[in-house]
Amino acid sequence: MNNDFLEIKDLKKSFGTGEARQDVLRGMNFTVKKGEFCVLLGPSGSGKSTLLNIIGGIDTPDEGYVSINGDKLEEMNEKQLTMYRRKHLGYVFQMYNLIPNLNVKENIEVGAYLSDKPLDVEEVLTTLGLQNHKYKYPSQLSGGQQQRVSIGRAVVKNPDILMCDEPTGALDYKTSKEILALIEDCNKKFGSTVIMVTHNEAIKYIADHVIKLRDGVVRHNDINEKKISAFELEWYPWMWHSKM
Amino acid sequence: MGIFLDYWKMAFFNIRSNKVRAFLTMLGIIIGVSSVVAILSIGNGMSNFISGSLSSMAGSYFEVYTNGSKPITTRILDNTVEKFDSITGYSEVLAFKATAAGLKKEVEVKVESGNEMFKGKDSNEIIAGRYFDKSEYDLAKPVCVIDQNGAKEIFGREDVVGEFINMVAYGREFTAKVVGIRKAGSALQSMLFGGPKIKVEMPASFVNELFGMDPDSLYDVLLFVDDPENAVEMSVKAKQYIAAALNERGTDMVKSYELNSGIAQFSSILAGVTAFVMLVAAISLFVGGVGVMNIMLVSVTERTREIGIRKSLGAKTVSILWQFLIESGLISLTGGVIGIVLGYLFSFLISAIIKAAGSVTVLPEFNIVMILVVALFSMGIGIFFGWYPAKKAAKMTPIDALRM
Repeated sequence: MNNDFLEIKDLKKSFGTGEARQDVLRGMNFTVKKGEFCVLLGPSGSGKSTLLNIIGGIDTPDEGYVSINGDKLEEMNEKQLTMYRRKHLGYVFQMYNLIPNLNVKENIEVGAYLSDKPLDVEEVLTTLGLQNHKYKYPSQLSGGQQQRVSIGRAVVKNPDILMCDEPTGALDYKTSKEILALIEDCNKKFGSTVIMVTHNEAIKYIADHVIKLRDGVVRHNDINEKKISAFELEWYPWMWHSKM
Repeated sequence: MGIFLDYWKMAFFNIRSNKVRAFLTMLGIIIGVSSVVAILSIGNGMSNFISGSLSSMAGSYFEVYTNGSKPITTRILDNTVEKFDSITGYSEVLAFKATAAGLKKEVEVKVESGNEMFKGKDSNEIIAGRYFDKSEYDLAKPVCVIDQNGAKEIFGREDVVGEFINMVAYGREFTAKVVGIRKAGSALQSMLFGGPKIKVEMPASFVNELFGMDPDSLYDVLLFVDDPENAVEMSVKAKQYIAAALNERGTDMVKSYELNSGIAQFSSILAGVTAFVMLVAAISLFVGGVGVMNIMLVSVTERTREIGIRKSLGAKTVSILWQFLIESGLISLTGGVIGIVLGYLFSFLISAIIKAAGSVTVLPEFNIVMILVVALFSMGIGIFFGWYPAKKAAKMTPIDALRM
């Protein structure tokens, strides 16, 4: 047995039919080890989000499978999928997606209630530097603060896998680095496997495992031996869309 | 369990952040519930009032009357009293309208006459003086008992024992001495029995003499019973007996009337009216429920993304269902509570209107069971009409919900 935690095998997915048919994933293969910080890099339309949705159990592939700890998602029914999301996954969205009617603490509690082994909410608030804002509502927070809450909601579940869909996509340079550092922290502190989707190539330097996607297939699959911390990371806006 | 608290909280905040919308949605429920509460409480108050003011009169006697083609003789009545142990006596009934000379103007009165037993027809007590007695009846004395209100209207005061009243009826003038004052009857009594509000009671013997009528030819009599329990049974038996004595067995010439059955009839009419108005109110509740459904559908559409997030985090279908059911339940429960309070106020308003219109005091009656039932029912409406939108929300797949 190897220690592969997540296995993606021959994953195919297309949308539409006939002329409009678009193959988004065309046979994708890779594995991720437990506790890895894995970055999925790729330009828009490379299938990153679809892949993330399939791993997240909220979308299904046409062919191939995703298995977690040897359990294939394809073989799960709706209820088992819900339990899988509940037990194993934390989701951080690009647009934060907080619940506007709940305050910071309550938004994080929404995640905690859904877990069998949640972390202490107060501890998470402290780690994320949200103690002073815990009674504020999402509309009273900046983008970076909202993203912290979103991360809090995901990590409080103490998930095996933390899925991040462009977590810095809507944030400025400085805030992005803070958020990345937080995700890095969570990876180290709580041992969650991180799968981060991004098109910001600079982020690859902080990852253990970098997978580059293009046109629905894996182009490069590298283990990063010389990873640096998020605070050492530097990039400039014009680098964001640099060629792969 | 903590998440349940959060559902309530989310529902509360969601309602609060859409105040006007939530209020308009509640309006239907508020109108429905308040009318139901007002109707129920006034209906209850009405039936209380009726049983309170009438049942004290009921049971001690019943009335037997003919259609006028054949009189009942005193001999038949004596035989009837003798035959049935429960019947203690009888009195003829002669009633007519008269005009009495009042202090400032003429006043219309209702003269009711009988023998000394006639006192028992009215449950309102004699508050001053006495009732006319057997010797006054036998001697056909021009004496009378007048009710409190009548005394006030004719003389401007209540202590009028010993005074004389001048009256005119069918072209004949007569004067009667007041020997007693009876406590004023409730307005409902005069409403039910009709005629002028002022009642003057006199010996029937005097009335017979006044109009030159045969004292042995009676068309309307009261028969008194020893125990109210026997009233209904006796009214049937005595009627049959009297009809047989008049050779009218099996015809409907002789009829009997017993107040208890009258009350029952009145109450059932009242219940019918209440039920009908309730039905109308229930329709407005239904319309209110449709409003709740409509707004919940909007809410689900607006919060599709939120549903998607919660589902992608692993929220179960049933918890999404709960979230929206609680919200619709809360909207209609709030509407219900406001409706109960308004209905409470309305019923006092209606009570005041009834009082102003008919000088009848109908106190609305509330009980905790009624209020609980109405509150639960209104919440039930929310849950019933919230079910479809909630189900719709719960059935969304996270990927579709997130894409929107």
